[in-house]
Amino acid sequence: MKKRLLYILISAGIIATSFSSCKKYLDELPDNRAELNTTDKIGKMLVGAYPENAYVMVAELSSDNVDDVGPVYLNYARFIEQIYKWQDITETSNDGIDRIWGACYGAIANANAALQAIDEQGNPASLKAQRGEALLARAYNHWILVNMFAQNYSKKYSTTDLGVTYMTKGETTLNPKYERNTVQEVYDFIKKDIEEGLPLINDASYANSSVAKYHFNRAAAYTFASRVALFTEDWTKAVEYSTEALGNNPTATLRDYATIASFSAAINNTTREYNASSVKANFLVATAYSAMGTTFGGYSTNNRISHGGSIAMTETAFASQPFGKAATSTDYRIRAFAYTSTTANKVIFPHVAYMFEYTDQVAGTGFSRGVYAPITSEEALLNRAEANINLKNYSAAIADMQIHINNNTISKPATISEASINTWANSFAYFTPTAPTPKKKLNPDFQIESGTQENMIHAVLSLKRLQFLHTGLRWFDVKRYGIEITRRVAPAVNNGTMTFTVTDNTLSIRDPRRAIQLPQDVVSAGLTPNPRSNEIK
Amino acid sequence: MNNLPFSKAWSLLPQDHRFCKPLRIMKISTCLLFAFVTGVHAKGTAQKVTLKMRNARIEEALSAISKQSNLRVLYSENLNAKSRVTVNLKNASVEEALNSILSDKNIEYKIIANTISVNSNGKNDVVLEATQQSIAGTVKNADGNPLAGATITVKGTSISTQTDANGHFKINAGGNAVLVVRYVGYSNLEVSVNNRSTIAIVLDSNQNQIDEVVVTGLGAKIDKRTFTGATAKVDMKDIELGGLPDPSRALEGRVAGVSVQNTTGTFGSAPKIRVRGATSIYGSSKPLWVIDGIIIEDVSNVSSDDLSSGDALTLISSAVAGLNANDIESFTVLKDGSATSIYGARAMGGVIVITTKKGKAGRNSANYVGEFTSRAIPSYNNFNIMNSQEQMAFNQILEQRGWLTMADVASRSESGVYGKMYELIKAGQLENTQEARNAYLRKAEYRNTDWFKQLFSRTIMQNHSVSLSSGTDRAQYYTSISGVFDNGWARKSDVKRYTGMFNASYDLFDNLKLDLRTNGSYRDQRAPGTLGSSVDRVSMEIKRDFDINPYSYALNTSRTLDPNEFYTRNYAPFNILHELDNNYMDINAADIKFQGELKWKPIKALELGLLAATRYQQTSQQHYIKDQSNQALAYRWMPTTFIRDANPFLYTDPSDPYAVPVSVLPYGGIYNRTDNKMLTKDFRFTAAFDKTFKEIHKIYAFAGAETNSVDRNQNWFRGWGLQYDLGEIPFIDYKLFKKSQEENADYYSIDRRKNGDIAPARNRQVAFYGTANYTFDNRYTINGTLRYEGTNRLGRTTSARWMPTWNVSGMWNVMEEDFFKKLNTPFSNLSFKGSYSLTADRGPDFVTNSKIIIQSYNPWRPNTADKETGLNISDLENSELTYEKKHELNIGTSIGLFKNRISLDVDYYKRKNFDLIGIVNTQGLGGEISKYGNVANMESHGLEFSLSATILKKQDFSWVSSFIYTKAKNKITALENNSRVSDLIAAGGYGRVGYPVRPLFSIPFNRLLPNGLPVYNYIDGTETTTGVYFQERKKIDFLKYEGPTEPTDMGSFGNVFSYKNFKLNVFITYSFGNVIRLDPAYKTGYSDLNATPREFWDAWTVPGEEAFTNIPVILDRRFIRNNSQYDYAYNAYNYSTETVAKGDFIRLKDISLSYELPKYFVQSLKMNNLGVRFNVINPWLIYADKRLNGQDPEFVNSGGVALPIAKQYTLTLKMGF
Repeated sequence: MKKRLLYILISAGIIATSFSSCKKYLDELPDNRAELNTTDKIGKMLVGAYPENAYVMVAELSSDNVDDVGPVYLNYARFIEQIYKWQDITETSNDGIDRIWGACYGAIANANAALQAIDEQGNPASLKAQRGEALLARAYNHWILVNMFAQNYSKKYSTTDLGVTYMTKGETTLNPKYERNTVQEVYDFIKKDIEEGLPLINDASYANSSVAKYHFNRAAAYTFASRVALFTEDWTKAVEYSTEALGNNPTATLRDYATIASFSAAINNTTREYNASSVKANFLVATAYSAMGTTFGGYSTNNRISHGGSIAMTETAFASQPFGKAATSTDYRIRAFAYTSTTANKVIFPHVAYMFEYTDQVAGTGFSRGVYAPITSEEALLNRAEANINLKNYSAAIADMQIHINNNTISKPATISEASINTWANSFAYFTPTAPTPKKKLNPDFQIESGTQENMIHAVLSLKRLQFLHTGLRWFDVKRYGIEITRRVAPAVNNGTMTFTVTDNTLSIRDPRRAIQLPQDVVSAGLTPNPRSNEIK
Repeated sequence: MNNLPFSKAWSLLPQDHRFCKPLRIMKISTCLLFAFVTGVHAKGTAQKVTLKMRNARIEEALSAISKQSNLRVLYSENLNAKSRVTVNLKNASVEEALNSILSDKNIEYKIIANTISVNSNGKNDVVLEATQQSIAGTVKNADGNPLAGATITVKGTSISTQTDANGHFKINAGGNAVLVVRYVGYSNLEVSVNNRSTIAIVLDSNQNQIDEVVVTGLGAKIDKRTFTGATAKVDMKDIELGGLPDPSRALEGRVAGVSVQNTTGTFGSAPKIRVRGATSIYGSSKPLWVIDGIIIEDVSNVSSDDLSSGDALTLISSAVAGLNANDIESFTVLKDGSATSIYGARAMGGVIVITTKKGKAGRNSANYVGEFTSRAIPSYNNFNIMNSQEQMAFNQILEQRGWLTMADVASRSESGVYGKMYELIKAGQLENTQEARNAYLRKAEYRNTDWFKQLFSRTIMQNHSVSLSSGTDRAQYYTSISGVFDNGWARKSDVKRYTGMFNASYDLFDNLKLDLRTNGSYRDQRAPGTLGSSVDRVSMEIKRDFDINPYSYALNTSRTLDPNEFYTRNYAPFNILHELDNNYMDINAADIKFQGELKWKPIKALELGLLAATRYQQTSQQHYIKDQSNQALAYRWMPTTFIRDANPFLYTDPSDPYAVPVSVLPYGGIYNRTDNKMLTKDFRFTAAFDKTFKEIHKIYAFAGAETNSVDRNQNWFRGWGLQYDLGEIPFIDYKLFKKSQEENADYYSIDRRKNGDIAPARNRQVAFYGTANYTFDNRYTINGTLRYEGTNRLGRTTSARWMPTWNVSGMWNVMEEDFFKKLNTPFSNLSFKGSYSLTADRGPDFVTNSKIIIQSYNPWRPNTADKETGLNISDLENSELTYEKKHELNIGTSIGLFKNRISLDVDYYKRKNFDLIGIVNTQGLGGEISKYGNVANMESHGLEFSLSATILKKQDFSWVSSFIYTKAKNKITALENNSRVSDLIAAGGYGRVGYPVRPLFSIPFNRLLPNGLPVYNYIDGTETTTGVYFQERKKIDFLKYEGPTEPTDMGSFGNVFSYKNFKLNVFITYSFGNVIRLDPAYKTGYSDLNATPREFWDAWTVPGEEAFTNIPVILDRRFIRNNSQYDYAYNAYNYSTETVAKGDFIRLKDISLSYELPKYFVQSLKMNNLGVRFNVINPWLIYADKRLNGQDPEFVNSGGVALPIAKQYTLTLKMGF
C-alpha cells in the first residue's frame, strides 16, 4: 500500500512540475518578433511611423495640374481615370487610396505602440525625444488622412464636416467599428499633439543627419506645424512656426541647384539628387511604393493624364510668372523636361524620383519606389509669405518670395515688388477652361480683399504650384482656396495652337468630391462614407 | 501487497503466474535427448513442490517446478509448451508434479543429472505403421514459409507426428481419415485425406485475430475489436512500389479517404496528400506524419500549394524521404476525429502513422532487397508539339508577320535559329543572300532535335537494402542499412541516399521493457539550377528567370535548334547542355533520430510509459552558377553598346552622372547556399490501463502528458564572383555591395522571420490527454477522448494558448449478439460504429497574432547614408484569435462474409469546419484593412468504401481483388471574397462562398472577331477583347466556374493473382472530378526559340475562319504596335474556357510479377528465401481528357526542379538468409 502511495505521489509530482513549468515553456517566442522593452527599440519603432504609401498620385491627379492629353496616349488605367474624374476609386494600386489609408493608419499604429511603450516605461526623460517624434508622426499621418478623405478645414463647416477617426490607441480586436470625428475635432487633436510634441523633438536622437531626414527633425516638425497653422487660418502661428523652422537666416536652408543640375543629363539622376537627404532644403524625405516616379518622370506610364504642354504654356512652367517668363526649358535652374511625342505629352520638373527596390537581384524582381520630399524649406518660406499676406505684412511676404524666386526659379529672375505683382496679376483675366491663365478664382471660406491682397495670394499660390509640382500639395491649395476645376481634353500643342475640349465635369466650390471617398472595403466594413451628391459625372 | 514485482516473497499464487516465466529456455534436439534415455533414470528426488495453478501454460508450470526443486528443465522445441494445465498440489514430489502436469499431454519426461528433460511422446509413429497408408506432406504458413514442429494428429486416434525443419511430415492414416494440424500461433486446421498420398497444408496465422491492435501512435494501443474510430491499416509489403524510394508515394489509391496527387515526382518532394480533403482554407491541410510515435515535423514550411511550385525548397518537402521503404512495417491512416482527437490541434488534416520493423525473438534472419530501375525517355509522340519541319513553317509565318526580322531579332534578349543566322551574317560567316539564308534554314528544318533524348537517359537507378533481425526472449534487434544510387533520369538529377536503422527492444525485467530506436539518413542530390518563380499579376504571365528544367525545356523549345550550338538568352550565349553542366544545385540532407521508450507494468493491468526522442535534420542547398554559365555571363555580356544599354543585369552607378553600364560580376560566377536546420525534442509520459472484469466488462483507459519542442533555422548566403575555373577563389567587385545597398538587397540572411520560409521558428507545445474505452460483453463499446493542449504558436498570450478537443464514439458488434449467432448468416463479421468529435488546428503558419507582432526591417532608402534598421508592426493584435475547429460525424460499418473472404468497410462522414482563418475587410483604422481572423466556415462530406474479396482460392491458385472508392466534397459556407480574378483563373485563389476550396474559374470565351481576335463575356453582360482586368476583386461574377482543382472521386482497383510461386499484381488507380488549367501557350508574339503546339495550325488566318476555329490569330507585329493591350487579350485566352481540361484519369499504376524460387533450391544455396519481381510503374494512362495532349493530369509542369513520375521498369531481387 505504501508503495502504491509512493507511485501516486511520484506521478502527481511529475504532473505538478510539468504544469508549473508549462507557462515558462510556452512563453518562448515562436519567431523573432520583437517586444518594445528598451529605449533603442522604442526609437526604432518610429522608423515605421511614416507612411510607406504616398498621397502624391491621387492628390496630384485630382488637382488642376493635369489634363486629359487625348486618346492618342494609351496608358490610361482605370485607376488613373477614376482619380482624374473624381469618381469613387474602386481600383487598387500601390498608389491606391486603400494603401494610403492603410499606410497612414499603420504608421499611426506604430506611433501609438511607441507611445504606449513609453508610458509603460513611466515616461522617462530619456524617452522625451521619442515621445515628441511619435506625437508629431501621429499628427502628420492624421493630417494626410483628413486632407485626403475630408473637406478642407473651414471655420464655417468643420464642426460638422466628417473628418477621420483620430486613433490614440492600438487596435486589439479583429474587426472593431469606429465613428468618424469631425474635421474640427481632428485638427484639434493634431494641434494638441503638435504642441505637446514640438518642444520634445531633438535632432541628436537620430543616427546621423541623413537618417534624421526620414524622421521629424526640428525643421520638419516646425514646418509641418506652420502648415497646420496656415491651413487653420492661424496666420501668426504659421509665421512663428516657419521662422522656427528656417532660423534667422532663411538663405542657409536654400536648395543647392548647382550640384543637382550637374546630374541633369538624365532625369532619373536629377530627381534622385533633388530628393537626396543631403540637400539642406529637404526637411523630410519619404520613399513610397509608388508609380509617381514614372508617371511624373520620363516614361510613358499613365501618359493620358499629364501635366501637358497646354497647362505648362498657359498656367505653369512657361506662362508668365511673378518672376518673369521662361522662354525655354533650360531657363530654369534645373531644366524642365518637356516631352512631346506619340508616347508622352508632358512637361516635367524633376521633383519626384523613380527608383527600384530589388527583392531578388538575380531574378530582377522588386518594387518600384517613389522618392519625394514632403516637407521642404521652400514650404516654410512660402507658408510664411502666405501667412504674412493674410496678415497684410506685404513687405515681409515679398522679401520671402524674393528669396525663393532668386534661388528656385529661372536663372535670371525679376525683382518683385507689390507693384510688380499687381501688374502681373492684373495682366490676366480669371482662368476659364478654354482661356486658361495662372490666375484662378479664389473662393476661400476666409476673407481676402480683392486688389493687392488677392494678387499677392495669386503670386504665392503660383510659386507654390510650380515649386511643388508633381508632389500633390497643389490639391490641398485647390481645396483650401475653393478653386474650381473643369476637366477638359487638351491635346498636344500644335505649332503654338492649343485646342481645348471642355467636359461638363466641374469640381465646384464645396463639391462633395473634394473629400475623396473612403476605400470601398472600409465603407463596406461599416465606416460612414463621405456624402455624395446624386449628380456625379 | 505482495503482488508487486521485486518483492522477495515469491509465492505461487494464481494471479502471479505470468511473472514466473522460465529464466532460461533451452532447446536440445530430440536425438540428443534419446541418447540419454538409455542412461541412468534417476528415481525421485527429495525436493517437495507446491503448485497451485489454474489454466497456466506448461512452461510456466515447469518453470515453477524448476525453481522450487532447483532442477534444470530442458524441453524440446516441438513441445507444445503453451498448452494449458490446471494443478493443485501441496508438498508433492517432483515426479508427482510432473506426472500431473504432463500426464494427458502426450509428453514424457526424464530426470537425469539434476535436469528434467521433457519431450513429446514421439514413439507412436514408430509403433503403428504397416497397416495404414503413408501420407507425406508439408505444412506452411500463408507466406509460404515452412512450419517446423507442427503437430499432425489423425483425428480420433493418438497417432501423431511433427514436421521437420522444412515443414515436411509423414504420417500413416486411412484414406478417409481426417488430419488435425496444430501449431502455436496458428488456427487449428482439419484436413480430410481423401485418399491422397501427398498433402500441402497451409495454416492461417491467428496472431492477428488475437493481438490486432490499432496503434494510434501516441503510445495508445487499442484492441481493434473495440476501436471506434475510422482508420485503415496497410502493410508495406502489400503496397510497395518497386523503384520509388520515397515511401509516401506508395499510398496512392491504397487507402479509402486518402488522396495522393503526384504533382511532381522529383525525389525528395512530397506528393500532395489529403486525408478526407481540405480542412482549412488558408492552412495547408497537410496530414500529420508520425513515425514510431514521434510526430515528424517539416524542416521547412512548404504549403500544399507550393508543393507544385517547382522551387528548390520542394526538394526537402517530403517528411519521409529519409526513410527506407523496406524498414516500414505498416501505415495506419487515422481519418476521423475519433481516431485523431488524441493528437489534438495538429491532426485536423488526418494522421498517417508509420510503424517500422522490429526484431523478433527466436529467429535470426538477414534480408537483402535490391531494386534496379530504368525509366523510359519521354517521347514526342505523346505530345502535340510541332516537329522541326512544322516549326520552321510556322517560323516563316512569324517572319511574314514581322516577328523574325533582322532588326527585331538582333534587339531581342532571346533568340534561336534566326538570331543565329543573323549573327552569322553580321560576322560575315554566312552570305546575306536569299539562297544562303534558305540553305541555313533548311538545315534547321531537317534537324528535328529530340530534346528528350538529349536531356534524359535510361540510366539504372539502384536501391540496395540489407536488414538483419534477431533476438531472444530478452532482447530483440532490427538493423538495416540501405543505399539508393541514381544517376538521374533527367540530366543533373542524380540522387544518392543512405539510410540506417537500429531498433532494439530489451525486456529488462519481466515487467520492464526498454525500446531504443536510432535511425538516420543522408541524401546527396543534384538538380538543375533554379530560381523562384513569380507571377506578373497584371498580365498574368508566370515567369521563372533562367529556367533550365530539362522537362519543361524539352517541351517548350523549338526542335529546329542544334543541341550543340549556342543560341541567345538574356543577351548572352546559351546552350542547354552546357548550362546544365555549369548551373546546378547540390542538396545535402542529413537526418538523424534517437528515441528511447521505457515501459513498466507495476501491476498487470497498468502500463506506464516514458518516451524521449530527439531528431536533428540539416539540409544544405548549394546552387552553383559557374563562370561560363549563361546566368553568370548575363551579368557581364556587353559586346555592343546596344546590348550594354539594354542588358538589365548591368549596373549604372547612380552617383556618377556620366556613368555607363558596367558589370558587377566581371569574373567568376555566383554561389548560393541555403541551410535549413531543425532540432525537435519530444518527451512523453503515458499510462494505460487494460482490464476485463468478470469477463464481460472490458475497460481500456489511457492518459498521457507530453511536451514537444521544435527549433528551426534557415541561413541563406549569396556569394558573388566565385571563380570556379580558378580554384574557387572569389573575385569581388566593390560595386556589387554598393549596388546591393542601393537596392536594399542582402547577401546573407538568418531567416527566423515570421513571414520567412520557415515558420514557426521555435515551436513549443504541452499537451495532456486521455481516452477511456468501455466494452460490454464484446458487443457494445463506448469511447471518449479529451485532450487539452497549449502552444506558443500564437505568441505570449494566455487567451488563445490552450485548446481542448474531444470526441465521443460508440460501436455495436452485431456478430456477438446471441440472436444474430442463431440466425446462421454468412456473416463472419458485422459491426457498426459512429463518432462525433471536435478537433482543431492552429490555422496557417502566418496567422499568430493573438498579441501584436512587431518585427525588424531595413526600410528601403535611396542612399547608403540614409540606412537604418527599424521596427514595424507586422500584425496587429487580434485578441479574439483562436484555433480552427471542426465538428465531424462519422458513421461506419465493417462487414465480413464467408469467413472474411469478402470484407467491406464503409465510412460516411460529415464535417462542419468553423472558425477557419479567412480574410476579413475591416475599417482599417489599425493600419490593416484586410486582416486574417476566424471568420470562415466550410462544410464537407465524403464516403469511403473499401472492398476486398478472395475471389478464388485453390490449392495452387488464388485471386484476391480489392476495390477502393473515396468521395470527398467540400464547400465554403462563409468567407469574404478576397480573391482576385487572377487568383481564381489560375487556381491559386482560396475560394468563394458556395464553391469548394481552391476552385477553378475561367474567363468566358465568346467568339473570334472577324479579325481573329478573341472576345470574352465580361462584367454586366458586356463584351471585351483587351479589357479583362485581372486584379478585379469585386465584380467577378462574369467568371465561369469550371470545377474544383482537387479530385472529388478517387480510388483504386487492385488484383493479385497467385499461382504456385508466381504472383501477379495489377494495380489501377483512378481519379475524377477535378479540372486542370492547360499550360499557357498563347502569346501576342513568339520567338524562334519556342516550340509551339500543333493547334496553332488551326489559328485564324483569313476573315471567315472565325466560324470554324476558336484559336486566335497569330498577331502581326505591325498590328500590335497600334495597341499595346493585346497582351491582355492573349493572356485572357490562356485562362479562358478554351484552355480547361478535365483532370479525370484511369491509370494502370503498377503491374508487377514476382516469383519465389522453390524452397528446395533455395535451401541448397543455404538461403531462406529468394525471389525476383519485375514491375512497371505508370505503364499506361488508360483514360485522360484528350485536351491534355499528353500532359500528365497529375503533374504540374512548373519548371524549376519539377519532373513527372516516369514510366519505369524495376527488377527487384529479394534474398533472405
